[in-house]
Amino acid sequence: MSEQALHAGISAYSLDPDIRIERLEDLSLAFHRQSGETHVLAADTEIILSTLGDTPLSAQDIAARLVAEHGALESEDGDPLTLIEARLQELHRLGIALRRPSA
Amino acid sequence: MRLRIGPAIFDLRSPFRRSVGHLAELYRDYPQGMDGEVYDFAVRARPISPLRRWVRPTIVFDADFMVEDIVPVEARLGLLGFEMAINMQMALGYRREIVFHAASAAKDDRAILIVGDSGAGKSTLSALLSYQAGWRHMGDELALLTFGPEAVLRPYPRPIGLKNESIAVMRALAPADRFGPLLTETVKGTVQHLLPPQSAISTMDEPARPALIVSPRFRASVAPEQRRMTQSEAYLRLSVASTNQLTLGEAGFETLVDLVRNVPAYDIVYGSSEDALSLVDDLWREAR
Repeated sequence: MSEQALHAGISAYSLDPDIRIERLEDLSLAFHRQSGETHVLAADTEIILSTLGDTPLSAQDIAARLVAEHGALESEDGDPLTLIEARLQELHRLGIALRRPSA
Repeated sequence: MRLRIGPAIFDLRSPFRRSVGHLAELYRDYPQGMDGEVYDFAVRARPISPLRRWVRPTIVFDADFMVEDIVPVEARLGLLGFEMAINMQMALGYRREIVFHAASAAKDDRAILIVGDSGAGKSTLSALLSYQAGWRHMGDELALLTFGPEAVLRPYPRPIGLKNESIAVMRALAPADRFGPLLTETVKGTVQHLLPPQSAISTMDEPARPALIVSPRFRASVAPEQRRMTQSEAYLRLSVASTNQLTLGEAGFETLVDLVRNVPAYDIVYGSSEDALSLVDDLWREAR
């Protein structure tokens, strides 16, 4: 997690190690070993999930990674950071992402 | 009586002579008399009250896995109650393989898996495949898939539960002595069971590799249509059709993911038996 984010008190997320992701030709599936639940992931969520790992990342960190990988994020409607944060919160609610309490 | 259907041994008991007679007739070709062997499931019929054994006789069933809506039944429909109770034990209680609410049939060592809601035409299509198109019947109601990357379908060939219009269709195609009693005014309309060909029962220990998945829909007099499902659609469809996948944890998940990655799945719509068989035939030729 970036120093900046840490000081700003922004939440950071990492992938729950109990989650197993399987990419199918169209969508991805996330299997949660502890609950036995399977989630079908929409395209947006999957892009975000592909950046997550063991190290906690904030929405800003993820945006920076996506820019590095895909070039500038086009934001015709709305703020990409808000969108990323909303998806991260969803992933957290579903038990797919772990949230590190903000500093 | 004690009998084996595919991998599962059932212990069936009833004080009603007619149900026992129907069961004996319908399961005459199945391995029986396994006294001393451990059985998987017991299904016991009993009168709803002592006097109701004789007065307006009505049967209730005791078994490990039951749902309310299949009991009680009038004594004349005892066979139907047994069939439902047997299905319920397998659907909810069996854990050695993934159980799908689906029909299956094989050609040589490869199999077709037919998924669909009740009434979509699974039983009719599976009866047509075995009695008209020369497929090996593996089951019309529940299909069993082993775990792992080389998963195979294990036969679970039950008497085929024909309903309403499909009874006449199959009477024209199958020998008269393969039919059970005609059961009228049941919750599913008129029902008659069709015994699978003897060869399907004698080969019920021979599994087959799934090579094609279809989800059929019969609509009177429409032109035949087919549509390939995406992998995630097929996953969701199979996941919903499975009666026990959620209880099987990661092994169940992994097996189902492998299945939809490796086996093509199609929606098919048809308006006649001929169209159904020719659609399946076309897709089967493309499947590997």
